[in-house]
Amino acid sequence: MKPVQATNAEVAAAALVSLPAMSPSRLRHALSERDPEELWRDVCASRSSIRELLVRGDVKHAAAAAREFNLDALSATLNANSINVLTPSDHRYPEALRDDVDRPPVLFTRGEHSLLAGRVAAIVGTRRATAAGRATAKELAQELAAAGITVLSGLALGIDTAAHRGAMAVGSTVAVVGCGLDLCYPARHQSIFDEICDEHLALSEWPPGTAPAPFRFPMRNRLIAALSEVVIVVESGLTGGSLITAREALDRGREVMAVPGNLQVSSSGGTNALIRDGATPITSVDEVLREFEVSRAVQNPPLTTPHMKGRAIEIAHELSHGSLTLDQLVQRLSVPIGEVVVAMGELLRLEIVVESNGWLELSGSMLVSGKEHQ
Amino acid sequence: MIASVTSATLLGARGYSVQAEVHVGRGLPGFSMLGLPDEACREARDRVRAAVLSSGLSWPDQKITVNLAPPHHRKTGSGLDLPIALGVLAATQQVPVDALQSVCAIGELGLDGSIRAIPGVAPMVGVHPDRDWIVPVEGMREAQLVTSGRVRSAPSLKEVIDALAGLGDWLTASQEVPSESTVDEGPDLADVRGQPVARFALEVAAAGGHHLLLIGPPGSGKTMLAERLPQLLPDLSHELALETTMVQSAAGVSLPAGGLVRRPPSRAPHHTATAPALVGGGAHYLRPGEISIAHGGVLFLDEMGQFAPSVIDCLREALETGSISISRAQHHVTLPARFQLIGATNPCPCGEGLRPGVCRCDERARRRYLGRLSGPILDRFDLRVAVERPQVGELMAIDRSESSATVAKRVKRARNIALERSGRINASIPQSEIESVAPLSDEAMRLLKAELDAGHLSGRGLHRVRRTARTIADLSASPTEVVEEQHVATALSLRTSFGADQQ
Repeated sequence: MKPVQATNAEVAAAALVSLPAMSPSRLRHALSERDPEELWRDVCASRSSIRELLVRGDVKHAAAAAREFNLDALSATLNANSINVLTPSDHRYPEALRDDVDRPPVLFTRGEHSLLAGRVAAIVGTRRATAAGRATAKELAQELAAAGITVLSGLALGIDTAAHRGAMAVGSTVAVVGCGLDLCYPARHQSIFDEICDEHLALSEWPPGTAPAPFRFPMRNRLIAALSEVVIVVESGLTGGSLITAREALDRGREVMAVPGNLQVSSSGGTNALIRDGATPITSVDEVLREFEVSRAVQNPPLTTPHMKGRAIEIAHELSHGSLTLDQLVQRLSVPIGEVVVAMGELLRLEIVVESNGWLELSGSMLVSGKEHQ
Repeated sequence: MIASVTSATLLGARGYSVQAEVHVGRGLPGFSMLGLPDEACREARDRVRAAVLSSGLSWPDQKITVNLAPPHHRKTGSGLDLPIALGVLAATQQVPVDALQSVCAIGELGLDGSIRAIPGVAPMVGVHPDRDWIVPVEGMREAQLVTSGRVRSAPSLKEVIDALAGLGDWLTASQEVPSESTVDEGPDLADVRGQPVARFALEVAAAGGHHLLLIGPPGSGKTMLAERLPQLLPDLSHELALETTMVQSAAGVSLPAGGLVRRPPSRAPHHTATAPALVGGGAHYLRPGEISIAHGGVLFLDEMGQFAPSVIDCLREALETGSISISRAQHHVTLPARFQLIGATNPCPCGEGLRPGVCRCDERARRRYLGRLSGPILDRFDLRVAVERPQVGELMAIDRSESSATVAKRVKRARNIALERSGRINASIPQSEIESVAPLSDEAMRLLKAELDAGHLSGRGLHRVRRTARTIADLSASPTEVVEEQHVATALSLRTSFGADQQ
């Protein structure tokens, strides 16, 4: 992690967005024209000129809050966590956001800024993903990252994490989060978050100490859409937050692609609806790469199945129609349970099949590479 | 005059000897009762008086003092009505005092002088197993199980008095021996369509005494399956049957006609049950809870995720030791509670299921829901099976599945194999003996080692899987001494880990 020494102007900018009374959209204008330090002094002095920056026009109230604000503590937090403060006047401020109507007045980052200078694809999706969805996200991310494209996502459970992991394995990734960068949400992603901050890039429009709240996630999704060239939705329910990302992307004229899914599975409802409404369906990794006009960098090793024997092939075939419980599988194959489980054990060990909460699914590694097992 | 009648009272599932001493003497007419009677017991005063008068006997217009010895022990229930009445009558020379020397009595009196049934006859009679007892008619069969003395009864106080005086006959128990079938007419396993793995898990649970958890959405047949477990179990051994009878009698559960509980009991408390209802308790009487009433049989907890976590935690001691200790300020009792636990739960609050990509629940809500079961309790289940709603075709299928009787035969055979080998059912094989009782084949060993290396199995889990695998081997058509790979693989697959992390 690069050590960070926040300048007075940066601390002032961070402090300005930390004030609850401050309106982000008005601050955006003010900060593009004026120096943050000067603005901060105006707020502290309760100058009437700052009235126009406030959500509710109580200048004295805002000034009192500003005077009580501990700038040193904020500065210490920024430095301790190596958090950079980017205003639009900063050359590090992402180009993609500069012209955005809804750009954040101040951006907080941890990690490598140059990642956003290249080509960026967002991979987003539901937290309640199927194993196949996670595998798809991971493979897509891996292919894109290997082709030099930065994969951007939201650090949520499910698809987002799979995308980050896939990208981190071979290339670079950017996480846009909905809370302060000194926190990790969800908490059990601490290790992956640390790794992203160290070697990749984490980004937030919220000052340190901001806790996650439901309204922040749609706003984070807007940033994801604005920062990416292409938004890929892997799995999403009909009411999923990923659809917000897709809508924001369309509003900004970005390309939206979606992975078609099983009609039986509710976590494919949103992606299928996107395709119906005109999103580009993804049926193989190549289509995504073509969108970026790059060619496949890594050759997928073909799925070899030297270990799959008679019974295992039958199992894989049954599971290719959708996930099943062991109960259903035994019934469909109508052979004794003992035979099924021995073959199943083999498939689980080879990670061709994964089990979660009693349900068995194909891990999906075959689906993406277009070599679905028959 | 003084008279004394031996009787008993109940605490937990045990009887305690009580001496009902009655003094009738000069003083203002009145009735006082000593020796910590509870409310029901205190009301004996009015019942006894009315019953004596209705029986055509006379009530003394004198000061009556009843002492229930030992006086420091709380006396509960209405079973002391009869001994108090007999004491009063003996003290007023309406009953020969000698006749009461050798006999003990319990029973509740109605205002018309009739003698009514009370719970706990068997454990109370068991306090003096070598003496003659006068008990309510309904309690004669169970009393005979525990006493070598004569069991006597009569339908009313008047007839008891006559019989004591030699003017009438006792009712003898042999006059109404009912014929008893040991087969219960419960729901049959043949009604369950499809679900081969869940059925098999049920069979394994029955054969090895393993605790079973069924997880599935509403309508997947969890309850239907669980209800069919008791019929798969063999009859109780005589010793266990006696223990079970004692507890059931003390809890006031109606006993089978023969008095002895031969079939394993089955209890299904609702998820609103409180901790005392489940494990036993109450202020004075310490009534046995559901887990003790299920002693020797099956405790079925439907919607296990809805039980208060503190209530579920209470089960842990019983699952570990086969008994439960209840302590109150004044009492401490240990009740037997060796039961087989069958749990059923929805996978999550929305109930839609664990099927990937279907559940509508928030990740955290789902975690919390299954989290209620997680940890120590979830670990106690050797068998954890996901069940799913059967499909229409299966429900409409005409061919019936195997019947309970067929499966019960296999279960019995497997149980006998286990009993002959180690003298106990497989679920209770101690860790130290597992190596000798359930040796593994090389392939089976390799399989388990791979699971351990992959971190799918803990040390405790390993032993549990080996016990289950032993049962599965015993159930196979040609049981082998050595546990094979197939058996271990099956045991592993019947032990799904729920609430696993989803990245």
